[in-house]
Amino acid sequence: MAQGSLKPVQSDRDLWSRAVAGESSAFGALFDRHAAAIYNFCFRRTADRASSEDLLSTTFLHAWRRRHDLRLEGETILPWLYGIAANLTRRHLRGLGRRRVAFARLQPLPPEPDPADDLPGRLDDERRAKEALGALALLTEREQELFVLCVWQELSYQEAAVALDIPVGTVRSRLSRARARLREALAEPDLASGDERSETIGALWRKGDQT
Amino acid sequence: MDEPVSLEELRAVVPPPPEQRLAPGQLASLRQALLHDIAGSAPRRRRRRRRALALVLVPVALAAAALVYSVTANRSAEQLGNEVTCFQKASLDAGAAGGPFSGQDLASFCRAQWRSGTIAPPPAGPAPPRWVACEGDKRGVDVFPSDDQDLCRRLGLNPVPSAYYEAVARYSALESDLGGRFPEKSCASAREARATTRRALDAHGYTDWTLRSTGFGELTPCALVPDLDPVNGVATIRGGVRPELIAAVAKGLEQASHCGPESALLADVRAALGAAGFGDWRVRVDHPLTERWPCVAGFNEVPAEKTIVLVGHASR
Repeated sequence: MAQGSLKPVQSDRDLWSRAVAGESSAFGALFDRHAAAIYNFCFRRTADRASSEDLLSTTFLHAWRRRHDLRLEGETILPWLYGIAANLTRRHLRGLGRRRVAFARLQPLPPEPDPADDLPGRLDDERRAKEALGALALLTEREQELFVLCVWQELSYQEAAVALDIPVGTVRSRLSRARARLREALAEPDLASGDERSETIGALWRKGDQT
Repeated sequence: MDEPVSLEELRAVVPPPPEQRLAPGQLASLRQALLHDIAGSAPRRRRRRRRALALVLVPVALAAAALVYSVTANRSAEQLGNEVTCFQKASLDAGAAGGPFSGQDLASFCRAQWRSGTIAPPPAGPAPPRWVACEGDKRGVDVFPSDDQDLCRRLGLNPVPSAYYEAVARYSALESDLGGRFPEKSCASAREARATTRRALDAHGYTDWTLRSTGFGELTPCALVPDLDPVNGVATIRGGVRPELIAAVAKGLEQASHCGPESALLADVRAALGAAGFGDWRVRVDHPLTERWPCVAGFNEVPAEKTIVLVGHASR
């Protein structure tokens, strides 16, 4: 018997049910599909590419371990992955100092060269991400998380609610509070000027950096 | 009432940092590590295909193809179950990987295995478009990249019967149903498990199957999801550890975020075990934790030694 049909486009739902049944290739396909989004979310929360790589891997490992817990209701698994990534990133940001001390005792492996490495570009991206995060420093941790999901990652309110396991109403009210704080801090009439905005954001970043 | 929020307005106030792209090599490396860890962290899944038999079949197939044919010739579609193994080449000694197949399309299934790198990482070029499916050596189905209609016979295997897709769908439904009847957080005794399994078999039309139970004891009083042997029509119910033990280990791992240093990781798991009344169980890691792989991916329980073994290389 030979099979020569064209590759069907498989839904997250289909891939997920196969992954839950233990089929690692289906899980690998979900990784291919969503790794970039999760990696960008982690980067935009941490401004650190190395940490984001680790958080990406750990997000999918947690998803695999918890695959029997999820009853996929929508068509995409992405909000759920965002939820795991948000939890891990929060934990990462809180425990950063403690873990640095702990892992100093482990023997480091030699660094693996990456031909795609563009050190100046990386540093510039990280600097710009830190600046943007600095502008959010006046928001609470939960508001920052939601801001990144809805504003930067462009999730719908419903998807963000699923990701963070909160009611849609809470999404709206948190975003509303976030906007009020940003308005207050950024003196909105002047924001039309890009230069002034950059200056304001830079000032806020310095403020956030000190806290 | 909150004022409606314009996301565009917020995006203009604080623009997103630049989009980041992982280099293809980095992404492939992360994916490969992930799949490797997944393979090493599926302690209570029983889906790994045995390759030793396939390897042994090579000389057997060449030297005594007729004998092999006689061994496999009379298997029905029902007896093939849902295990599928995809091979890297049209040869039984080629690299192979597989898993449970739910009955849609064998070629798509194997192309997905190919692209995922589980057959031979990294994938050797694009996934082949055409595949040939044969009855497996002992159970299941072996699938080879080829358009040779005579391949199965040349390998000493039977072609897959036409009723296979229908049969595998029914079998997969049984397996899925059984999984739902044995939730991981419950503890069914051997007797309860036999009754539950029999009901599931009957509901899916497998009324002539035999039930067996084994491995139940003081430390393993809770039934695991039954193993199914479609070749012989036998469902085997094995005893496993209490779900509270599993939950305690998971809690300890969660406490440590699954990560070292080893002494702290072990301490967290031991503390969770102690708090749950399993303080007499030992815990160890089966490999040294490193800066590159500072975390574990899962664990296996060894009831005979009252030991939890933390396994799998994971990054933070």
